[in-house]
Amino acid sequence: MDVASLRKGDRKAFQDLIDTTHRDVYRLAFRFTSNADDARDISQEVYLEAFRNIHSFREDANIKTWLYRITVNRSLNLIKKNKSKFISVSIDDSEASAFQISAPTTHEADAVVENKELKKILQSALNSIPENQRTAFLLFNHDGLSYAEIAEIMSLSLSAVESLIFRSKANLRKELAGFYQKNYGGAQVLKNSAVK
Amino acid sequence: MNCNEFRLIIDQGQPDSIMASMLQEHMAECPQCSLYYKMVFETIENAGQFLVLEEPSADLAVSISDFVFNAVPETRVVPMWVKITTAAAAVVFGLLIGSGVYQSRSANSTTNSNLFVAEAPADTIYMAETTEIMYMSFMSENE
Repeated sequence: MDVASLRKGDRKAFQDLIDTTHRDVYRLAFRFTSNADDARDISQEVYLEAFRNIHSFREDANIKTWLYRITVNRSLNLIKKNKSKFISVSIDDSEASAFQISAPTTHEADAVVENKELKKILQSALNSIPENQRTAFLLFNHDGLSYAEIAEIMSLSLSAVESLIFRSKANLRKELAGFYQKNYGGAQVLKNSAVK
Repeated sequence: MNCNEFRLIIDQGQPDSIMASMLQEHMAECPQCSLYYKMVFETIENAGQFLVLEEPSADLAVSISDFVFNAVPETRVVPMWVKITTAAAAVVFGLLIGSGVYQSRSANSTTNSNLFVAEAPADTIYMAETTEIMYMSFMSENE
């Protein structure tokens, strides 16, 4: 990527930047919004902001990380503006009734919950954890970003990012365990454990 | 290992290798804990494959370019030769006016024409000064 040309406002260089990075920016925006139209709008705004402020971009920095930072900010702003649209829905409210998952009785039980369903369960669990933990977790699972890159995107220290990801996983486990407990019944597990 | 112990380890999040083999043994004989492991541990550890991932439409890059480049109109770059020519014209114009002022002052001092002393030179000097200011500001802008 020719950063010097970009900083001069060279449109061809910027077009190259769009061509090479727009998929990742869109995917990240989609991870936050789960909506194709919103992700598309955010992608456009991200590049407009980038084009207007390209002169302030430091040559030694990673341009993709810079774009991701704008994407995260834009996504979070959109979510804040449209809280009713992105309102947190508990797993129990949204998913349990829809899935009708039956309690497993055989060794093939883990096939009962399809990946598609797990996606929905995880998405709902993500909506229930704090915003900064969700942001760190989503970045951690996007495009193989390292802790250092996440720290740069979120303007945090490395240890803060590690802590956020650790806590996000713990909270997600808690949410998913709660979902399991509610839908499969803790009593049955306790009964089994007494036998073994 | 019983189911409660199994779930306690999963809830803590990071089973070591010894624990992991014990978990595998337990899961082999307990479908419920196997599901618990898949739902509570695997889903989070392999979240990348469970999170919804949508590819953008094929025209996204074009629509982004249109959006950006239409919003920020291209600034016209003035060629260097135009800048130099304009600056030179300004200099010539300034010199012409300046010489006119000089001539009129010289004429006033030798021919005792009091008519021009009060009005004509003042206007001409003002014009000359204005031109000079314009020239200087033009030069500073184009540095």
